[in-house]
Amino acid sequence: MKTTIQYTNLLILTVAILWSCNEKETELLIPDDFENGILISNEGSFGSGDASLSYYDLESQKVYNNVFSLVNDGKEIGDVMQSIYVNQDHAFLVVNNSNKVEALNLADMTIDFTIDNLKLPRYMTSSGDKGYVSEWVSFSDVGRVTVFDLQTGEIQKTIDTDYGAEGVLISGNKLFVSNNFSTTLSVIDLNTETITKTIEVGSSPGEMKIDADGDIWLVCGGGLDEQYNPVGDGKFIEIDPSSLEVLTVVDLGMNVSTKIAIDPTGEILYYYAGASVYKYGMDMTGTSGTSLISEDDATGFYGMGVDGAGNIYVGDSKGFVESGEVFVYGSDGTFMEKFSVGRGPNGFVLN
Amino acid sequence: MRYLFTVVLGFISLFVSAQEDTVYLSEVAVDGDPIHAFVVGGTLQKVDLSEHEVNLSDALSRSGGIYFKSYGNLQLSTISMRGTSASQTNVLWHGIPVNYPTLGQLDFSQWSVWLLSSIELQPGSGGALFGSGSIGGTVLLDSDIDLKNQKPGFTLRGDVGSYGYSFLGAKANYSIGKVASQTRIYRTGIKNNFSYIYNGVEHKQENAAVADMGLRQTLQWELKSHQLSLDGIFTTNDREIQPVKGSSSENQLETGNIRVALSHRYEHATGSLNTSLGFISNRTLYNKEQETIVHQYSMVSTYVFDLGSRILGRVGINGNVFRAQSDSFNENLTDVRTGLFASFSAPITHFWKVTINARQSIFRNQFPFNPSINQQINLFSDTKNRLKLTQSISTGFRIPTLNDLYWNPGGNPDLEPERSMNTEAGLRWESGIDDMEWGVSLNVFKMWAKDYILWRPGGDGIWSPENIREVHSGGVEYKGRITFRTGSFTHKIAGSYSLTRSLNQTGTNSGNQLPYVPIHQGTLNIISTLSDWSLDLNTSYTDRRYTTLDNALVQSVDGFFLMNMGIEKQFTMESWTLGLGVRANNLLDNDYENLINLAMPGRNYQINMLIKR
Repeated sequence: MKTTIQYTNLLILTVAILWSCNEKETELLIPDDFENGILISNEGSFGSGDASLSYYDLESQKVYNNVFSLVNDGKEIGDVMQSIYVNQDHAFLVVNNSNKVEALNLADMTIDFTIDNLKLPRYMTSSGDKGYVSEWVSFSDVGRVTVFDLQTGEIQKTIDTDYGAEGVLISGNKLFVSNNFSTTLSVIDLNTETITKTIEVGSSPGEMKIDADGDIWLVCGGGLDEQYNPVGDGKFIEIDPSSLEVLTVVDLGMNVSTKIAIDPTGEILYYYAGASVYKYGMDMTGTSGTSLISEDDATGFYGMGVDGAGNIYVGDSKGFVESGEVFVYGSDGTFMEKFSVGRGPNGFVLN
Repeated sequence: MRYLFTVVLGFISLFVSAQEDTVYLSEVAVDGDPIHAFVVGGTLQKVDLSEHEVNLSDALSRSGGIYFKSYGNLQLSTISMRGTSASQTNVLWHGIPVNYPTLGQLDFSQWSVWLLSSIELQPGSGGALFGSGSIGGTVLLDSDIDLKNQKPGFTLRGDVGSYGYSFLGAKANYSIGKVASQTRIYRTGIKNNFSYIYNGVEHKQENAAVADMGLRQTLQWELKSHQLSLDGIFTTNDREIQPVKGSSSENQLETGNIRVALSHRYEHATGSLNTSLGFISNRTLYNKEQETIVHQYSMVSTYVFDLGSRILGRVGINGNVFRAQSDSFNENLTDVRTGLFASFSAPITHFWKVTINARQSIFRNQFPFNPSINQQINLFSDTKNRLKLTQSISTGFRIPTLNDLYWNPGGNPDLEPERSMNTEAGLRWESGIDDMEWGVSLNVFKMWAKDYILWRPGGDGIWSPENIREVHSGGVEYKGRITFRTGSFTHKIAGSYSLTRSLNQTGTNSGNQLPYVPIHQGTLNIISTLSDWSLDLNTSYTDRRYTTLDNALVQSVDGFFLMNMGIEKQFTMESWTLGLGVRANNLLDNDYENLINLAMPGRNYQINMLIKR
């Protein structure tokens, strides 16, 4: 009997002590509108199907997480949201490993239509009534661009480019597509929808931005040697969109992100590596970029954007083991704030 | 600290009350390699081998307290014991480590119960006794095969079921001259083309088919005091890798395993020398492109002896050589790991036994030393009641995997072993009256672990592993079973409950539960038999699991309740028996996820046939 009592005491005591479930629920709210803010794409953890959409309201400086599911009856975006593209009436979510693009009504982020049956889509742009989405297709086939109707999502055509079709940018009547597994930039004539030129650029070409003069700046992240060590040949390449001539090549002396941002004046480019942000002023001819931010509290930056006031937003993936964090800095690199978002924040789009 | 205090307090009072009883320990007997005698916590938990179960993860789940991360139905399934990760459970086959040396873990779905002769479990750190990887626990497979007393026999099993499931297996026991032999063979497969709802739309699961084949041949030869065994398992597993809900992919993985163990035992009056040589080969081919081949050569030798008829000793040496070739490693690599170990078990008084284990391991330039001490007190014992108290302090370690050390890019050859310290106390009570017999056990544990290896992105964007995380965990494990009769019915009921808190101590999310560690888990299994009929009901509850270290509720996976039921009728004709059964899995048709956004099947059915002679 004595032992039974002891035994019961032991059970009750230990259970009581160990029982300290601290489930915390962050309040999830839907913003009143999406008119003046930043859409944040949270990629999610590969294979977990937990991509999510966050919204940062610039006026109230409030963060709204998990927006997509909240406004769409608990539906989920899918696996690996690579990027967001916004035009006048839609926000397009490009969902890489779910092979689709979700077209959301810009006013309230509800689903308008879905484009299925894509193959590892990456980035999107549009012109007139047509949308263009780059796709890797696979790791062993050449990449391509799929052309679709912007209002209905109906696929009209696919144009093969080169391995790992990645960044897309339209200037005039030309669509530029960087091919990340290759070292090329494909130029597509939008009238004929055929490739008219392929420009050799550098290792691991990524995103492109247009500067104040209308020139295209392409980042090449840099390659790996046979031992998989970084070669350190990251570079910016300035291209004249009319003549298609390479105007400037800026050696960055290191391997850098294939995601970049440009300040509102169109004269400063930002890029990152690890938990550091660098800047390159286009008037700094003949030099490489300079270090702007080095964040001790970050694990590794994974995406970047700039708002209308020139503030810099960088997403920290935190190694994908927890929710990501966004760090905000002034254009001079001073820390302003940080906030928690979904898993793997990889891109910022100003709306 | 409060926790420890409670345990110590409870312990002392129990100990005091124990003085009243007089119990005698059974005499020490040296038979084979009685690893059981040295086990931390007193006893290895034996897992019943059911003839209905397909793979090892099903069998172990049923025993309670273990969580399996299953990437779909009969897809990749990895173990988590006491809130640790898959690589922190050591799996030994004939005493030889069989976790894949590249990943440091095992896919339990690829190991068919049909091929196994014994499964035992040891929760908690057991580095001293079992070696690298025993942080959360140890699974021992086919530790001690004995064909000496086997009768010639033959078993044939055939199943068909929902989603294109089929199983065909045969076992035979026979003798060839003086050599006892056992042959087991099977093949199974499933299409897994079940339906699930995602984003409000019904989808058909694609790319989730699995096909397995396996053969095991065991030979045993006995001559006077020598015993020689040769055991070989050959398996193949072709698997389409189930994509997340709403996604399509065509990824697939082919796996081939060869495991051979040659064991020798020599017994004399006061001791027993046991030596096993093992060869293990694992080949994986991902998408018919990326091939990894690892060969493992292992040796383990123990000598168990009597010291003055009261003290039992065990000393041994082990060695593992890994040779790997993969696109992910710079060159064909060789990695050597060895260790020396010793154990002593002695009675302090007639009811109190103390065991000390220690192991000195050697790998690269690292020398992890792991001691452990455990004691067992027989509080009470008579013909109807046995009450036992066990208590232990033990340590565990895990040598980094080949991927951790050599993966290109990012592998870190300077990694140190992960380490843990574990303390626990347990009570076991076994009793019975008339037609009723029952047993309960309660265990509480606390574990402090550090230097967990974590892959993180570096400054150049390349991921690399480091010894970073510290984790403190604690929990309660309860198991109970009862057998009784009502009228002509015999009922066997077994239940378990476990509470596991496995808390990160590193970085901003300090104090949070580790991802994919359910806090509460429970099982309840009932088997009722009436002459030739038997009915079994298996139920389990798995609590909510976080998928991120910040324990974000929106990204967590809801808890789930599962119920499986089977009914079987046996027909006997002379020396033959025929069993015919039907089973329903997920009887309540619950929509659940084991891993986030990986679909699991709803209610599904099977028909089984078992012929024995």
